[in-house]
Amino acid sequence: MKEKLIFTAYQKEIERTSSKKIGLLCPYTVEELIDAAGFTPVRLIPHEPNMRYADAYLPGTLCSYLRYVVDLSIAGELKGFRGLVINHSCDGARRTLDIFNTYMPDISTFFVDTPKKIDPYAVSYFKKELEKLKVYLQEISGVEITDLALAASIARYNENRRLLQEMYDMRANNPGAMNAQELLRVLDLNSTGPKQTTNKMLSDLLSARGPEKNGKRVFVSGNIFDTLPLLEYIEGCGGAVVGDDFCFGGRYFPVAVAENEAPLDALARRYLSRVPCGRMINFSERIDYIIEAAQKTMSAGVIYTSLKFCDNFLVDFPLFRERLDRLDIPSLFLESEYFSLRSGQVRTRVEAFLERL
Amino acid sequence: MGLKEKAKDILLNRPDPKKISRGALVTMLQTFLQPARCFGTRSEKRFSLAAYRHGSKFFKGGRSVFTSLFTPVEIIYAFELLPFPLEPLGALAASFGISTQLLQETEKRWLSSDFCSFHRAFLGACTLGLLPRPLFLMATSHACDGTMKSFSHVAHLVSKPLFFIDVPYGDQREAVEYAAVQVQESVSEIESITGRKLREDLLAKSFGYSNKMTALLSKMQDARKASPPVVYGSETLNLLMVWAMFAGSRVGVRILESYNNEIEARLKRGFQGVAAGKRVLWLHLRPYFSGSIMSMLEEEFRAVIVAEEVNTPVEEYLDVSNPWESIARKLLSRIWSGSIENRLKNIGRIIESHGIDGVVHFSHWGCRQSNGAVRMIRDTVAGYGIPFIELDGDCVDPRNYSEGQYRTRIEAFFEIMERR
Amino acid sequence: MYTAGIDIGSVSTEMVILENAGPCRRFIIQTGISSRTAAERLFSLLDEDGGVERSDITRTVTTGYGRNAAGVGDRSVTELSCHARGAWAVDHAVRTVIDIGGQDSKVISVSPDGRSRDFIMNDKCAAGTGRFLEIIAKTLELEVAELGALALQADRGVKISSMCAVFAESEVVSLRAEGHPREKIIRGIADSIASRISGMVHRVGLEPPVMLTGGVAKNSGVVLALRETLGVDILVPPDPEFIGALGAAHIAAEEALKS
Repeated sequence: MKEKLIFTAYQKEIERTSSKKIGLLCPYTVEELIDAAGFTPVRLIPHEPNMRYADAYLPGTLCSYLRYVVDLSIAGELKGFRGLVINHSCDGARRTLDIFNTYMPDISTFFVDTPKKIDPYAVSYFKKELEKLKVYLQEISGVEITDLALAASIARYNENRRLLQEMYDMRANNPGAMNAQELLRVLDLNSTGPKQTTNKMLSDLLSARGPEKNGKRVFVSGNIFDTLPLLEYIEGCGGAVVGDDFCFGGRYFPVAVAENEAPLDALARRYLSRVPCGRMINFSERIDYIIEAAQKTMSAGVIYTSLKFCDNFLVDFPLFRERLDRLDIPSLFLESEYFSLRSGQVRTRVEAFLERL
Repeated sequence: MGLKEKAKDILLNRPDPKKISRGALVTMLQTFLQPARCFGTRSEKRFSLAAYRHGSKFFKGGRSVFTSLFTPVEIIYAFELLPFPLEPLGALAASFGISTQLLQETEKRWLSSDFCSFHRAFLGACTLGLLPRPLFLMATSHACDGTMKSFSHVAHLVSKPLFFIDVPYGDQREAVEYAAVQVQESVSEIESITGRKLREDLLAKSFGYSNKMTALLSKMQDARKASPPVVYGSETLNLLMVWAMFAGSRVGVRILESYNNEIEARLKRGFQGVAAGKRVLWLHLRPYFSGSIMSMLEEEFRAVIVAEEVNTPVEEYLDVSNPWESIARKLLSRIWSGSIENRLKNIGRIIESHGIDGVVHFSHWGCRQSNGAVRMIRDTVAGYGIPFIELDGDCVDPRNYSEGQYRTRIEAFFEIMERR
Repeated sequence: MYTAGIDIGSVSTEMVILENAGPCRRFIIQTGISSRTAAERLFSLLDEDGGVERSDITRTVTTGYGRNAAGVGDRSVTELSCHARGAWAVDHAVRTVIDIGGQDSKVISVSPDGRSRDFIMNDKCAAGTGRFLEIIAKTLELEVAELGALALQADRGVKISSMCAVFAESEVVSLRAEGHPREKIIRGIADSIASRISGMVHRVGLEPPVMLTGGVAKNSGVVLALRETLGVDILVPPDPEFIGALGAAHIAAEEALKS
């Protein structure tokens, strides 16, 4: 199939054009700084549902994504990485950092504190954190991060955001343009390759046209999972995923970084005031965003997913449901471990949900 | 109908905060501190009565503020308002036997039970309208992510503003500044809402009391270092509530003075009431519903808790000439703040200074900031060559409790301590 | 000097008699509903056997789930300490004991002198216990004792996705209906158990040599799965279900000598 070839070619191109990798876990990590230092920011994505070592370090009642990150690090899969940036995303991230510092001191990690607020004091504090990140990146790269280099990275990333927005719009207009497997492949490649290369990939994909496809329009909300099984169940049961707000999907690209300001100021402000994660004090704006996006994409229903043990996302569901109920928008709530969306139980719920629409 | 049943009936079936009777509150608070029997010390009785008066004021419609466990309530007292900490409400509900109903209320409304039951319990209480409305809410992100979520939701339920201090990571200059400016902002907001300016003399008084309390807690912990235990840890674990309710008030000073004096007096006269065999350090919190693993550990096995990490005095004194910064520093130097370093160092310090024979970590369900550290704590304790045990459980939700399972673990832990 | 150790489990009860710290008699019965009568029934068996008189026994230690309710014995000691001591008695080099019993499983770290140093227990969930194997045996219309040999016939197991033993039961029924051979299913179950146990082992810390005790140790499929999952050799003592009682009897002997 034509689409598949492009992916393989781009996979190769990404490998060819990647420089030394810096790992990241969370979209609050300011990738432009990493890019401007000459590194390739690479999101850590677990590929195998096979946790071997994490039990010895973190309890089973803690985020399975973080447990997989620890697991693959202990297994030595971070060998190709120059370092790892961990944001203060949550309590789990704090403890994960401690595990790295205590048991894997050879892996260079850098912690970036991240405020929960978005007022000028918070932005100012976050900017100071970014200055420290800049120093760290300069130290390990041996390269000075000039304002010019940073501005160029910002431009690249803004282009990436624009292209992703276009791709999402395209899919909302015609869900057949890109199916779930293709979408997730694109997002994964986008998160793991240099933006120079992935921008080209996105541009190419936008010019391709897929077959017209209809289906019951579904919006999916969530954080960080292996979502492929869920999206495939939706499509398999006659649904069409017309939008999402995943951390590295629909919530990753909105809001560009201002290009006419001092770069660190612009970055600090954009990253804090983008569509918020459940961890932020203005988390109810995420609920607004989801509802707005669901309505804009004419979704018939919303599937709200969250990783188990994620207070930042799980605790919002009652509020969210209340609002959806008032608007008469059907919703389905799924909580799962990182890989556990592949199950007969999830399929049954999805099927039943789609039957309601 | 017995008094307890009557109170339960009022609380659950005809919730009207104004109707909660004096007697019901007394029973409630008595059970809160000692599930099945009389007070362990005169100081405990004093604490009970103070808590009762405090609760009474609150339910009778005092000018109150919902606070989180680590909110700097010295500020609230300086404004002559009443802090009502919400997490301890979960503990109270558990000891009173109504936590299940509160939790079920939230479960009905799709609140995930992965979330800490202390928070779910007070969310349940607010959902049921059991509590009088406060003037505002004041909370901090210490010690966990959950606080921002639960307090935001309560603020929404009661339609009152939330003043939130986002406590940063670490204790460098920038972090202190960021925390301090938020404290200052909160104070301005409170001034707006209450229509009165914060009086420096009242702040000085409040800080003075708080500092005195810190010194008293320090003294008390020192007294327990080498001497045979004269008070049970199950009781002293509750002192965390003294801070949540009374930090910065004269009542708080009186309670801690009382404990100090009583412990000193007991030591002097060679108090025999606590038969001790092994000396235990208890980490985190304890279950509050009845069916007590605490008496099993301390009385049956005589493995007495001689130190609790929650009662580690924070050696930052509040300075009225630099108020916001000193409050900020205090928040940032708490053992559960930031990286695991402070907590592990503190555990080591206590093991060395208190002659500890074994360490227990109570892994409360849903508490990821604490349970996520168990591996590192286990290794730290192993470095001192003493046994460590992790007890899984829930402080507030009695539904999964199995006495037999705890008995086997505590007994096995005791056997390890015995054979060293 | 004779000492006795009685391990009163929820499923079976074992007794070991030591003569001057060397094993000389052992008995096993189904516990039934009363710990008290279980212990007494064992003493009856002892009488019938005739080799050792009950009155000859200097000291008795009880262990297991029913250790306190049994109403016999001079002292009760947890199965954690007893399994450590019993495993060590068989082989002084053992440092990690995995005990998979009828209704619980545990991993115990053993000190060089045979004491329990650290441990982790699972007594909340049937997955990873003998109960799980019983459920599956019944579903496949086999005896529990047949499972091990059958599992070894499969070169690899079918992946069982259910975390819960109760749900795994229905999953096994579906797998059979889909035509998967029994050997592969049983092997998959063994892998499941091993994976559960492995999580517990890593929490305590894997220090070889590792010994497997409890009735499930007789299931060669589980032993193989554990070997593969943990990547170390697994020692299986003769009469693995008696290790708890053996340890209790040794502890009784030590205490008798002290006094």
